[in-house]
Amino acid sequence: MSMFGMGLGRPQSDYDENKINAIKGEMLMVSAMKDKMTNICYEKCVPPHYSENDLNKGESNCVDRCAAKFFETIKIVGSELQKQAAQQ
Amino acid sequence: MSSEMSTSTPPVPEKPRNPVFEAMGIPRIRLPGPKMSVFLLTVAGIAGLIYYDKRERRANRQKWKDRVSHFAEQPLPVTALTRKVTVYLSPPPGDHMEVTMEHFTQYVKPILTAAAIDWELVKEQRQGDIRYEVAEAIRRQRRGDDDRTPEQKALSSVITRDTDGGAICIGRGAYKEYLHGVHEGWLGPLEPPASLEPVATTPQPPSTEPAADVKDSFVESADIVINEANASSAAAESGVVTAQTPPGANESEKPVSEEEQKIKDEEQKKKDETAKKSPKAYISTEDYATAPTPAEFSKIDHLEPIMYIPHPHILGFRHTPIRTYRYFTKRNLADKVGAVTAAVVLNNFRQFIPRIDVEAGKHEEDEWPVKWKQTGIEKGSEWMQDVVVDERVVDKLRVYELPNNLDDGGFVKNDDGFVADK
Repeated sequence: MSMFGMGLGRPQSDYDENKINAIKGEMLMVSAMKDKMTNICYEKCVPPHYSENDLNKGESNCVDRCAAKFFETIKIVGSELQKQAAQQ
Repeated sequence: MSSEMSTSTPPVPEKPRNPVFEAMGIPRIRLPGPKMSVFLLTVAGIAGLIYYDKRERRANRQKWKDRVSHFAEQPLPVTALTRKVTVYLSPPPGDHMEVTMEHFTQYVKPILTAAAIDWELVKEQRQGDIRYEVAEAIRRQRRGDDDRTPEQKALSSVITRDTDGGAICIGRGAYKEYLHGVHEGWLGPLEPPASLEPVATTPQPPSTEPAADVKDSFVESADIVINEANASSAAAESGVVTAQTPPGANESEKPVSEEEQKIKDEEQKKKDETAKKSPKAYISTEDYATAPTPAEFSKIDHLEPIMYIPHPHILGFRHTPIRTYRYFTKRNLADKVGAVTAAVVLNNFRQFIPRIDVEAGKHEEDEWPVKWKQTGIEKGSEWMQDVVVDERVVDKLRVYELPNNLDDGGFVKNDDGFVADK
């Protein structure tokens, strides 16, 4: 992991450990979200029997919509959670 | 009747029962009585009608889905996107958007999905919004506006989209607005005409309270006797206020701030009103014929093809028989709407024929609520106006139509998919 100059072995005073950890956590979260979306949309749109190595029109359209819906849902849920947190 | 029957028939001597059943508390099995029979038969009959209709509806839908499903099986490169149609929805008169939405999801959407056609919904609650949206899109195209972000531009150079578009209008109202929107966009001016600005902002309620208030505050300085007729509660109040305020510098300040407040209120009210109303047309229907042809118009070969999707919808207690009949024969609607949607999917169109296509769905207007139509005429509603078309636009307009040979199974499969067999 040489992200953001880490692992150079040189102590740098302007790096904030907490910030980097936060970024790492966020990266993990995003990649987990991507994995989840891939799984969900694959199961939803691509039939289990193998026919060809490319997606056909119907499947790719479905994947397209699935991904859009996924992000839309995440946005709505996120804003709802924020609202709840603000109320408490 | 049943009591007569029960008295007339002699009591049947009860057979001895199996004591085991008796001990378990299982009652004797009897045929249902006449009352119960009538009830059960009615319930079974209605349930049967609903079930049959639902089954046939599903079959009809499946029929049209199967006709177009070969489109979805074509391979698609990773850098390509499928064809996208625009669907215009507006609530039927006197009802909610959900009705139109359900009509779309029930009858139109399954066929679009089966054919792997993407769609964009344009849902507009108010009359005139669809017209404005359509016209605005055309005006943007004419001006050459490009409001895409640099990222989107970069993406669009890599990812290509199928350019066969298409417009689907659900219901007569949306269709009407779409046609007028196309005319407005192409024949109307690019910028809102000067005559429109005051028209769009001036509509205010006939001399409501804020206006009277402003007048009253002016009365103090102008020293005019308040009209007795105008001396409403508001005027009386302002009189009391002026009597209480002490004379001096304070007085000159306070009315000004009040006035400002009132003017602000009024402006806010105007804003709210204009926000409630949809933007007015840049060109009226009478001026279509005399409008100059824009230079950009000759550059395009054709306008986007249109499809009118029937949306029969009738309200009111008096129409219960019609509504009941329609409820039990939704299968016919599914077939009809499925056919016209399939026409869009098959991308089979013909020239717009004013004699036929202007009147498309005209019968729907007869089903709109009478009161709604009356207020619509009084208020100059767009839905109550006749469709006006201009030859220049009509020349480039096209309408989807189901191929004639489709019903005799005139489709054969070749390597590229299905093609019409001539």
